[in-house]
Amino acid sequence: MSDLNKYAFINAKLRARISMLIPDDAFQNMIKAGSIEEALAHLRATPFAFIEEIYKTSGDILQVEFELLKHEIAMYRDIHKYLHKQTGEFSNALLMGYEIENLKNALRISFEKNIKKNSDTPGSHYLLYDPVIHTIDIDTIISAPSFDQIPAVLSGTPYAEIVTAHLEEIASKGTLFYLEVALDHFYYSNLLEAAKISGRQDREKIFRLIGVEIDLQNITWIIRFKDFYKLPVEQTLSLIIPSGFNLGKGAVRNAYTGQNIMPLVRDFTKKYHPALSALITATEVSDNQSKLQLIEHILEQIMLHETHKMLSGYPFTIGILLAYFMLKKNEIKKIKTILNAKLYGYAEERIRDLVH
Amino acid sequence: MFTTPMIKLVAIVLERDREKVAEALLAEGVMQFITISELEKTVLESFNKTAPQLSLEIISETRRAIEDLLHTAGIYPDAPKEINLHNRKLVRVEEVKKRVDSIHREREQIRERQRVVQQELLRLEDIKKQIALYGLDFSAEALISSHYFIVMYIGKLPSKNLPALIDEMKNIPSVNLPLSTSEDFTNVLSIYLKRDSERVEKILGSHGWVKIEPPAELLKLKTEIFENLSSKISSYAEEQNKLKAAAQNLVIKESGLLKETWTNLRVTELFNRVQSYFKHSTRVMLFSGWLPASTKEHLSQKIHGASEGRCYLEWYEAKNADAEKEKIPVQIRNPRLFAPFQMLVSNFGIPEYGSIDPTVFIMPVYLSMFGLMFADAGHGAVLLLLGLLGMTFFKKKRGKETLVNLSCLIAWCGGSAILFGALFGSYFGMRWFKPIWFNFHGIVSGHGGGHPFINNIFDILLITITFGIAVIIIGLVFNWINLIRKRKWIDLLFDKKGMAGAWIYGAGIYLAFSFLKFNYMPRLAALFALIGIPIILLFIKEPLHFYMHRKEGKGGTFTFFKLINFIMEWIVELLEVFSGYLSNTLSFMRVAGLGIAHVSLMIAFFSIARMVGGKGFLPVVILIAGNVLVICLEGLSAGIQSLRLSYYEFFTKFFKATGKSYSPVSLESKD
Repeated sequence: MSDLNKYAFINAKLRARISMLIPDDAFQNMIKAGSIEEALAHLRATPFAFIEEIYKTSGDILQVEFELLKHEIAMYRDIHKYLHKQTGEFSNALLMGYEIENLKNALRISFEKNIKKNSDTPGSHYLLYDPVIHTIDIDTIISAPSFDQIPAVLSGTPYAEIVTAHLEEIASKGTLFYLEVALDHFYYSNLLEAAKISGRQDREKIFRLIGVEIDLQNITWIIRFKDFYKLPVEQTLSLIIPSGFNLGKGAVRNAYTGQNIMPLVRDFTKKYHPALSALITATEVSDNQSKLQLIEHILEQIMLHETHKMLSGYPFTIGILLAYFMLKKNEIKKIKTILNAKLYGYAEERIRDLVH
Repeated sequence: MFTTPMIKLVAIVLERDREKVAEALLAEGVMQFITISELEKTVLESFNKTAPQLSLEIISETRRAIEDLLHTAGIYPDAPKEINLHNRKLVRVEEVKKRVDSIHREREQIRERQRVVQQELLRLEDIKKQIALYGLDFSAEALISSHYFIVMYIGKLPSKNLPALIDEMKNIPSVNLPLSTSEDFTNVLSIYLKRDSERVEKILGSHGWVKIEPPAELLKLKTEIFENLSSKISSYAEEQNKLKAAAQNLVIKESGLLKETWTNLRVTELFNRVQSYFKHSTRVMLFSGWLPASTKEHLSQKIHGASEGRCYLEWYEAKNADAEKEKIPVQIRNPRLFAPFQMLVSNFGIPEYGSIDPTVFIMPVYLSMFGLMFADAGHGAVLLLLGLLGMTFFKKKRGKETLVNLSCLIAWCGGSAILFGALFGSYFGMRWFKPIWFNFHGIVSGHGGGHPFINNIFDILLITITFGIAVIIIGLVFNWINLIRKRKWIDLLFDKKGMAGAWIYGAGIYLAFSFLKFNYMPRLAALFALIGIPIILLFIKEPLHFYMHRKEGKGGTFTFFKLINFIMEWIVELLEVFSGYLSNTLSFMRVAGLGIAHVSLMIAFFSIARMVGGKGFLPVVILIAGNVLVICLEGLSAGIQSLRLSYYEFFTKFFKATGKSYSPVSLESKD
């Protein structure tokens, strides 16, 4: 099937939808608003008008975030109807990210209950109980009397094997960290596998965008493993996602054994966004929390930069899908950031920094 | 026909009359102020900007804060009136901010209570879900199961303690169901969350509760438990609704005072904004701005009245030639009837000051093209109805003026389609009445048009091309009028959209017509006169511009490269003239094409209906579906193509979207 046949309709549809994304001045008005209610009132003329009513009824910002999550998943499902089979499979691979996050949250609740013996689990209200991709009995996971019973609940899904492989580690080390890293590995490897069946042009676009994400995820983990968990370099190399495109093992080893990881971050950024790498040179970052925040910010900027490049390129490729998902994700993230900032009483300038 | 004539005012009034003059200017609301920079620097240096008591930024910020607060309760204050301006009160911004903050705090407390209630509600729903999932297996062991987040105990306690127990447990997500009474004791089923175990067991113990074996009648209890739970959930939900209403009422209760404060702040903001354009010395004050020439006398009277004659006003007529240099603001005013077409013009851009406002002309051009492409009276009636319904529906909603205009446009298009449908004898694809002009349907289906001159598709194409030529010529004439008003004589005579270009275009039409119709080409001398002379005239434009600039002392020296430049520009212009005009003209063939497509689709649907029997339910469904599809598809195509032809083939001949919209400071100002 030619690219034109595959993408002509979805390209027109998504470009029309992109023109309806919340404009920047609406976000500025939200930032200037005096309270959460006033910020939400600025969303009345947008597709997110429904969250105002949810907040007015419950007063619960977590409920609002949960509804936004469901909205995001519904968006993926809605777009999926218009996709060609191969592209649809890739879209499902992206959607699996939400399923994995939901599963991690359920596992954390079960872990708290069974291992930490803490039965206070308010997070269970904000789990997705309906299937995202696979049918997973979340109720049974969070109610399971012991962690050993969870693989049985996950049978028929690709997660059963992963959880089984880490059961002993969870019991002995008393942490879910390694299981969560393994689930992330699975997500990215599944995504790249789904990308392989696409055409050459599509593959290039996917690998470029996902590759950026993987490399930056690895950089974040390197900082965590080194500075928080104090892991040895060989263990770190075994934990990072193996399909990073620009960070080879040599570069990782150098960054790990060196005093400062920022040169690695700078060199990486220079490749994708030279203007941004100048910012890193100018910014002195010493503490780890700031490093992580800076890296997160860099990730967002690079992804947005790549998104805009895709939108201005040849239209009949998977780029339009990736760009739309990225822009919508960014839009929802901005809304959540502003609402949470209003809840915690952040000043306008600080909110602007967080959002931009 | 043209943009509203504007006039510039430079005024000097006494400093002591500043406030009254500012009030008068704001009340009139016709002045778009400009920064004064025409005076000599030495004179300007002795003038200072007027500094109002309260900073504009603080007032705007406070006003917006109240506005946002009112919006949360769905209250949208109206623009202030003149009486508010004259009766404005000093606003104590700090007090207002305190009041707004206090409302925020009260509301936050309500939201905090809502959060707590929400958590309790969710916990009860958890219990309900757990019971529904795992059933109620009432053996003693199964009651206390590590599977669940919930705990179920059966116990007995003295009957007199039961009301106190239920009262103490009412704020804990739980079910406490009395089962049976024997002597002075009541058996109670208690279901609660594991995390509340410690608290609940203390309460139960304090009321003399003792665990017992479950009685037999427990099996029938599921319904009662659910009812108990449901009623608790309902009461929490009711509390949520009450809290939601309370939060809303906080603002509604204060809305009178808030709206009054908002009005005062808005008036003060605008009043200060007017004064921010004043420059003053110790004794006098200076200001300047543009306003429509028609309001000159009225404003003059008002300023004289406010300053009791102690003023000096200088008026400067706006010159079309200086439109760009002077940045003269542009006002387009048309009767309400033309609002949808003014929307089409504004979407393209704001015309240059002093040029033709094409709104009145775009109406017949757009509607004619639409009617030719969508010529069916029945379909037109549907569009008209939809347009009228849309206007009625959207008029009631705030901020939907664009949709009202769009609905009005659809209604107009419907009207045009009805007219052309009657001209061509088409009513939902059927011939109910004889066509007034010719039978379009008949021509497309090969039966002839029933007209002496229009009998085949080529005749229809000729009509649309003739229409296109007329539109292009009108566009060129408009361009000439604009050039004459700006006194750009060189462009008028020698530009590709001037007379030289039109000469070539006219010659092209004549040659094409005479060749195609009569198979005749004029002789060389005539060809030279028709085409050769205007081509030479086109060449003259750039050298003439260069010569004029040199005369004014602006141009450079003439070199060989300059000559090459002139020649290259001339060749490119020639290519643009020949290819551009030809393509512009042939573009109008799409009008015929879409009209033919419209008829062909209807013929196709009628054929399908005949193929399935011609009578009965199915053919009717097919025809209705066909009509709906044609209305949607063809309606959209015709609307978009008419717009494209209007913008690209018509507007580009004369429209320069370099104007700046006129935005005076008035009580109605939006920002």
